[in-house]
Amino acid sequence: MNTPLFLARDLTRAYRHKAGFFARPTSQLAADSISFEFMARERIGVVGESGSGKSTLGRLLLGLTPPTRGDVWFEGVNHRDRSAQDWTTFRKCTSLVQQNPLSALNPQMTIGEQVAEGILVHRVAGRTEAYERTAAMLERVGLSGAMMNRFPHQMSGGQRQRVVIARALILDPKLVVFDEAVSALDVSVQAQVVALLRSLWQQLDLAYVFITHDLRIVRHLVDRIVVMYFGRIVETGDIRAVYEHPRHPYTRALLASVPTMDSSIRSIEPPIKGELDAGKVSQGCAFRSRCPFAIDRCAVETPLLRAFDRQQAACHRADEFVGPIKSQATAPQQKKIAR
Amino acid sequence: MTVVTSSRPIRGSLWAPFRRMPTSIGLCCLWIGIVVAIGITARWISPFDYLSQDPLSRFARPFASASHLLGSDYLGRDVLSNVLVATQTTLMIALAGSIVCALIGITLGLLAAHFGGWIDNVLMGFADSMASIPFIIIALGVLAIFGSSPLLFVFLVGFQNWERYARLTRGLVISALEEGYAEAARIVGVPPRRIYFRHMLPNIAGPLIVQFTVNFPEIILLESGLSFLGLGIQPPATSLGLMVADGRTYLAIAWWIAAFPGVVIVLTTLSISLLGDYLRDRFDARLR
Repeated sequence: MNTPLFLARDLTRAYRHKAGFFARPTSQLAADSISFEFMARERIGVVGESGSGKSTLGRLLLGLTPPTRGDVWFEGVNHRDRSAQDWTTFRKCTSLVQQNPLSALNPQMTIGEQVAEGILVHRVAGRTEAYERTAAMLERVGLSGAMMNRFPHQMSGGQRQRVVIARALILDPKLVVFDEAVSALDVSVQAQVVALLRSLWQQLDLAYVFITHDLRIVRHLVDRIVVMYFGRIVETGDIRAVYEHPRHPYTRALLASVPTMDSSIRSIEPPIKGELDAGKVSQGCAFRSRCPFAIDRCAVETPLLRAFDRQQAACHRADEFVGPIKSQATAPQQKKIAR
Repeated sequence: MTVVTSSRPIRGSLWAPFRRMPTSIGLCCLWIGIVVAIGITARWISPFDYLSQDPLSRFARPFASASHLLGSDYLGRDVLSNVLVATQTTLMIALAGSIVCALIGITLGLLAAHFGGWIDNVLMGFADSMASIPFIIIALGVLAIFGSSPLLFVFLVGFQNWERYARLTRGLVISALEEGYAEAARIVGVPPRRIYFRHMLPNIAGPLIVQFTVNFPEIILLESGLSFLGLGIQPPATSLGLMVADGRTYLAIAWWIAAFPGVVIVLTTLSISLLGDYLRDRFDARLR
């Protein structure tokens, strides 16, 4: 009945590196054959460790990085077919909240000028109205309208992040990508920003993609989660389903690594070691070198996403992982079923 | 509600270094002020027409009489009047040359940073090759082939060291593009021209202004050097370099003909260099 807000098909982005002028270029896939879609007002979390390609995914969606292969459709229009005019319209209804609020704000411009700029550039309203709406938006994110005349260096980290969010929301976007939006903030400020996002989502007609490595925060903010490893989606699905019954060993390890105060739910999941080693994997599962459950098949055949009840996972042994990671978790070898 | 848009912050940050500056820098500013005033008013304040000859008072010693305060030269021309007019000429050439240089360098640097890829490589390769040849040799060659016309001369001196502006601008723009604010503006849909001029320029203006103060005296020196060699400003027009060249012949009997224009060159270039040095320190301190 309705077209998805965003539709990505086979999205791939390779980065070429050249060590020197005569060196042979090597290419590395930051995003590899990613396909997914989401609807208006949907909230999606993208998690993964550093270098897993989650930021690249956000940039591909917003058209900030052109894909090497594959397509992105926004409201049925392919990014590749957009005219300059189309891009302007697209820019108007999407935005990005960056990681570091200090560098995301121009030190030489006032808060008001920066937040109001979207309205002025797109000629949505005149100057006076633009600043009135800016003041209103600043109040909405919990700042006072009088802060408009301040410069970024006169504000605290939390205030700056609110300004960045206000700037992202000033044009009533249909989609906002939060790229590690709270990672640079300390925990108490994180909690404030999370609460702010939840209430803003209820008030506004907004879909968002929340990119983070923090699995605790993302749980409070999204409906659906995408777990990425080495540029691929390894698991995706309803947030509850994935958190309660992770089907991919990488997701399981990630969830097991979330610190908890409750000693009764300690995980016995074997921890993964090392870090994401780029460039080595040519075929098979990229995670196999770190996976405690790897079998011979993993080295030969690249696992594709398979559908399960309310989630999809890309693992050959996904159906062997049953139950939550808590307590008596089920390593497949043990063939046990969780209580 | 009332909306107060602030005054441009760039103004505040540019004037800040001039508050509480050391005495030496104050003196530099004072001298630069005097030179600028001379540059504007030279034709009106000079006591004589700088070309009028007076064979009867040749080689008048400086500070001896009220009529020729800085003495007179081998044709009896008033040295003071000549210095004033020559300062004006030199200043005009240096100013125009500096602006030409800044425009060329900043434009090419911006293009290199904006487009990257082979355009960047070609422009930077060109800059490297320019930097590898002493510019005075190129200048001598060009002037020897085309002859000296004022317009050509201004562009020629303006072409000196453009690659420094280009490299500086390229580096500043590339690092500014990496900054979140430029990307943020792009995501909002701000057109590139507005990003460069409205967002980026105020942030990178400091080093460029300092580069201007470094470049300005170098152009004065180049102009003086070329005029001294007889390939720059041609008589009857005069410039500081030309005056030094003229007075060199009589250095043994009339030191003042070459000395006074020389002093103006030295003081002016020194003042501007010191000021640039000071500004660079101040801007750096602000960034740290």
